[in-house]
Amino acid sequence: MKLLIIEDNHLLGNSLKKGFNDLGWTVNLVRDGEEGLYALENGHYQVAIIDHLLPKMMGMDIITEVRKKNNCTPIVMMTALGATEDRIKGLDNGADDYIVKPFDFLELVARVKALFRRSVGKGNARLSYGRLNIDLDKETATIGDVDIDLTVKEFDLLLALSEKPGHIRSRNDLTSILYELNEEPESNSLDVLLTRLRRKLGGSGIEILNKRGRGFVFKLEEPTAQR
Amino acid sequence: MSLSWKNLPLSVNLTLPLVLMLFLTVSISGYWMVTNFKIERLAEIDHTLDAQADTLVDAVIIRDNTLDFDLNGETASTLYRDKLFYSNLTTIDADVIAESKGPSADTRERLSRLIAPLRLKDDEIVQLDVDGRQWRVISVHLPLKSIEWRSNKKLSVYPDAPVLNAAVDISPVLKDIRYFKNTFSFGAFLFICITSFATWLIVVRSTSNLRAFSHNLNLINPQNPSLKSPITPKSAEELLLFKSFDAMLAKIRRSTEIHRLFVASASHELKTPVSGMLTALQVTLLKPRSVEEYKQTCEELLKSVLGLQHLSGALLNVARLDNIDDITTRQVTVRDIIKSLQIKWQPIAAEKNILLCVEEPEQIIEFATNPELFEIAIGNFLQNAIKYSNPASTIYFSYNLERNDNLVVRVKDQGIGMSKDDVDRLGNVFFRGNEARPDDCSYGLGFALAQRIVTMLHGSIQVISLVGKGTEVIATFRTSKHKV
Repeated sequence: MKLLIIEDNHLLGNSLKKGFNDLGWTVNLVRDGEEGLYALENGHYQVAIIDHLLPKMMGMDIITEVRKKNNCTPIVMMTALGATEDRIKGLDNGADDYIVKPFDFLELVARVKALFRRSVGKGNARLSYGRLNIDLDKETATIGDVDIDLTVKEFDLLLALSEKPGHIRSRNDLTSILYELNEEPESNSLDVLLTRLRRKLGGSGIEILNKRGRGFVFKLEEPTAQR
Repeated sequence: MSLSWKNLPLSVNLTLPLVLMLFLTVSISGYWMVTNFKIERLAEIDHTLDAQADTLVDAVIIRDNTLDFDLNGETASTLYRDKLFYSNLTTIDADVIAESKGPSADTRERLSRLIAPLRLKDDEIVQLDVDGRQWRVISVHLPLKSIEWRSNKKLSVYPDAPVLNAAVDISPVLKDIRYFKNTFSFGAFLFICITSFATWLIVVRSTSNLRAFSHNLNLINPQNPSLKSPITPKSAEELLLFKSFDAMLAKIRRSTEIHRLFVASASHELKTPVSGMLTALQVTLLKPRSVEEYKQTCEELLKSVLGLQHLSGALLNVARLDNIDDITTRQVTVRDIIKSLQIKWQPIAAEKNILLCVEEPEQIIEFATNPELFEIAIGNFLQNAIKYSNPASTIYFSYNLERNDNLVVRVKDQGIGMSKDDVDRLGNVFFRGNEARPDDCSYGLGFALAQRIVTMLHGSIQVISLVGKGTEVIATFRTSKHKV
């Protein structure tokens, strides 16, 4: 699960990043509006948290800009302005949710998860593909009733692939989802993850196909013809 | 609402006095006109009556040893038969000798009875009421000798000269006068009504824009002041009023916007560090941490608290300055203050490898000011210059007496500079350029504070800046009674 935080306050930004990291999220933290817009347009995030007042570019302007380009990344707007008209303005501009400072961290987490469920799970906390079941709340996966032991990165990879079943996800897409901006993973890290994931998904009815030169496809196995 | 003059519409306020004035004017002039008309008509009648009496005197003859009227003359004959004219000849004792036959017998009888006791002098005219009709009466003592000579007869019957009484019925004339008066009154009434109505209508129409304007004022939203529907001015005065009002609204909107931005910025600058501290604590307490992590959290929290302390202090200073009407000043030597600033800021500049170059005039400059506030203001310029200068650059700090003996202090850096928009917004509380970050304890209050201080010290600030080239802040203070 990948999260973008755009917040110029050092303490708040770092604390949020630390908190979401602890919860298993991969977090990118940027400190000004222009950097934030670039990250949002060029990265792949399940959710973005954007502060209202930012240097170089206001949070509201970032949202307007990305929505114009049909970027549907769910966005939580973080602001000190709690008046009703400010909330309405933020939501009208394209934010999916709104939280007023100072807030309870766990409330923010709940809102981010809700947006994540809506975005990835289309509102459902549980996704099912064949015999594979994914619980977005608990961040677990099962084949039938049997739990699959997945690491955080494996779970994130499974979510990224299952987000668009049948569609090709490029290597770059998957890498940007799994790793932070300033992370430089090993060149075969993704392949290692895919191999481990395929092994753990055996018997689930799911296959991850490799489309050479283009990417990977998450799809249900076709039933083999019976003789 | 009590009924008083000021609660009435302008149309009524203007129309009522006009009606009153018109009424007075028309009444007085009408009265004068009618009175004069009556006097002149009566004078004319009296003159005619006198002439008619003289004519009748010439028509009196002696017949059968008594007096009578000679009706051979057309005038005398006409008068004799005129129903509106009566004449008689009486003795000195009011016995009727002869009379005209125009009026009815009753009228003649009453007239003669009323005239008899009057004993009018010659050419004296009186007015009598006879059965509701008004008669003007004149008496003339007959010149017997002349009549005897004319008649060629002698008359010895009357020891004293008989009297000719002539009366004319002026009721028709009085009726004319009344008609004139009524016509005049009606005309005057109509004139007053039409004039008043026209005045009222003109005033109502002339003030329609004013009423619409007043009504629209009630509908103005204080949060976003603007006139609901534009009103087309119908006069130069309205044009001036609407233009002035629009200018005032623009100022209010700017002020409201500045206030709104201030509130938004203040909320952000205060709530964000609080939010940071709250989140840091909640995240730290979510699970067991190492001692190092706790220590790091405490250090970050401490930094935030100090930042809030600085922010609240700066805000209070700004608020205090906004409420001070007068400050104490004393004569100071500028060199001493500049020296103090140099001692404070030169090491800070040196830490960033920035050269602070101070240029002083040869003369000693003294002026009356508040040295503490003066130092805070100039200190802010130096602080900003250091903050936004690149390493290995130079800051030029100078002062001198310039035009009109004004003290001019200049701080010029070779730093990142500002756009024109940013220069225009300098001085707005919480405004800071894009390169400033709150972690540098830069909240956009320093320059706002400095600007207020300079204004209170009867000075002014000019900022010249180019992006990428640097900024020069020029503060000018008056040292004499001349305005800056």
